[in-house]
Amino acid sequence: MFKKILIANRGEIAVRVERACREMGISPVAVYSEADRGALHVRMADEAHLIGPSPSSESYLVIEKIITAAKRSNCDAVHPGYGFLSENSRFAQACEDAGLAFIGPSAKSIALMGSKVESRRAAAKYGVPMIPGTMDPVVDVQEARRVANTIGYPIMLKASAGGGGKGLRLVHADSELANALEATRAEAKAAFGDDAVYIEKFAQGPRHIEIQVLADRHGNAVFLGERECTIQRRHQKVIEECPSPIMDADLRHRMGEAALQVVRAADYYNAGTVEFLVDSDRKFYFLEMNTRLQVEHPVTEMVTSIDLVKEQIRIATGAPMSLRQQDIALKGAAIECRVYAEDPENNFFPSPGTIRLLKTPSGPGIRDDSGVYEGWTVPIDYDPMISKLVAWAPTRGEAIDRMQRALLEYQIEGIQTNLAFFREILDHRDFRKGEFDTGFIDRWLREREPRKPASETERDLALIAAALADAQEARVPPETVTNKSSAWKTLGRIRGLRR
Amino acid sequence: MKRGTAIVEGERVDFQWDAQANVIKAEVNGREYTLETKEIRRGLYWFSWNGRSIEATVIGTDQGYMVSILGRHIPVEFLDSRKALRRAGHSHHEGVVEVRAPMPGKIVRILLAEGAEVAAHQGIVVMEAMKMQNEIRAPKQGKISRLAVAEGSAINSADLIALIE
Repeated sequence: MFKKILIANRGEIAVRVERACREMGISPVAVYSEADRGALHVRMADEAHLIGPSPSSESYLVIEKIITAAKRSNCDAVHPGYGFLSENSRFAQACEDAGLAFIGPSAKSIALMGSKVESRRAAAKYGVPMIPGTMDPVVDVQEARRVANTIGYPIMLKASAGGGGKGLRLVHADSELANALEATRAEAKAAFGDDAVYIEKFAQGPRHIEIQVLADRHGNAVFLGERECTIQRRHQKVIEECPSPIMDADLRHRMGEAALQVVRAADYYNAGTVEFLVDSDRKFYFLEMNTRLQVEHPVTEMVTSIDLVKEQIRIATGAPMSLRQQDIALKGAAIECRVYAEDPENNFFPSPGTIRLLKTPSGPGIRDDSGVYEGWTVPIDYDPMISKLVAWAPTRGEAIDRMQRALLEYQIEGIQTNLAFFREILDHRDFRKGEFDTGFIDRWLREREPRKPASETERDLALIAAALADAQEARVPPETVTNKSSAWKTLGRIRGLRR
Repeated sequence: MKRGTAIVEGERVDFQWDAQANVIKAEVNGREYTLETKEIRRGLYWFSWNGRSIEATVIGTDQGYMVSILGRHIPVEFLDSRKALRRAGHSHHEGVVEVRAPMPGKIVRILLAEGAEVAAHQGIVVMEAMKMQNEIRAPKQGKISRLAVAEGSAINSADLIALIE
């Protein structure tokens, strides 16, 4: 077993990995940027090494600095967390070259699954269902028409070099096709310098459901149920749960087997996630594989009682996995809410700043994977996720009730958060029924009733509380106030850091 | 009894209050309250009102206070407090002040023309960046001696928007 692991990450996921290390008798080593001096993950580690200025391009993304810190502290392995360098094949290779075990898959698997085209090709070879369409770019409108007529409208035109929702066009009928193809090509050429466009069937009422897998270097592989990740805003997951409300044993088995085929196609080991799109007829299609630990891994841990981080570490030592498919059983239901420093009442504007008061929920079935503490200043330089609140209960309905209770207990002051936003979504009839698709939040944001203004009594009591505080402030020097204007100034730096 | 005037969620209210031992008596715009109270710690108060158990958190902001109570955030500003006076002092800048762009973007609307009188915190232009619109406000009261942008101007971070004297 490893003696010392360097965690090449920050925030809640670094804390999560440190906890697993402690429980396994391994010494956790942290790295930090200047913005993260005194951060929770730094305070909780045995050792901490400064790796550079606040921008991640000068700290958490610099391979050489992390390898140097790992060698200097005599670590024998590196855990990449998620984001940052976790899906960088050069980093995985650099670790191995430096004699450090990389707690993840091989550099080759990362590179293969990191390519949109290559990963689809590899998975298709193993019979994994793909969204009907073309693997290669279409040559001309005649070919496009032939393909569209075979798979049936509506179809999506997708720029090969596209990403993040850009270079996409929905086509409903043959009469729109020629113009749409020309427009998408022109757009792709302008935006990405590449006018290659391929065709996919457009899925109605799509859901995002992913399968967690674990595999070792000896050919053993298992799947650990699914995660329902359909509740998204701007392609960012917001709420995840296990099991999915639309799942049954048969579909789970078929999706699990398909995920294991992707594992074989990629010659994959360690923890990974295979993402599928599931349409309203419950047909599923391969989207991509994430070759790392997922943000939302706790819902799987709560339902399977398997510690994914510990399994990752054991697999990375080269030992064969003791888990077998028949050992894996799902019990109860778990839901996760991603708590962000952002203001839902102001177009989800990021709200970095100092946490002036923090009360975290606890009690039966509640887990809060947090990366912050009271008095900590959420830096402007990184993803503004504060914590992941997870509720487990015997049934989905009880898990939702429990999450509502925990959200009431959770109090974060000094910065804006999306806690109240979750309480509204969890109360939504369609969410309760499990009936939603990826457009749920956007539709709900358009239709939602504005919140009733505060009552007279609420306002009067607020005034009395403020008067008490003001009377005290007259006796004690005032605290420094949070600088509200900085949020606007730094919005641009924060966007794009989201995973 | 202490008396005062406050702006609560944008509405002006007169109030008076007095605290003795664990009991607060208050009158807000003529409405009377008797509360049992305990200060859990600075800025965190527990009230019992008509048998209801209520917690309130008070955080200082640059506008006054933000009170979190019964799942709501309610801003409160006292018109006569030392804080208001101190703030008034802060927004008094001597001489010419430059207003510069906080980030790259586009000017979508001009709110005040060159030569116009402007109050402290009044919007001068509306700027769009990252698909969001925000007012760029005057840091002090004065006259717009120069407006360096026009509607539709694309500007970079730290570009001059206006001069106020």
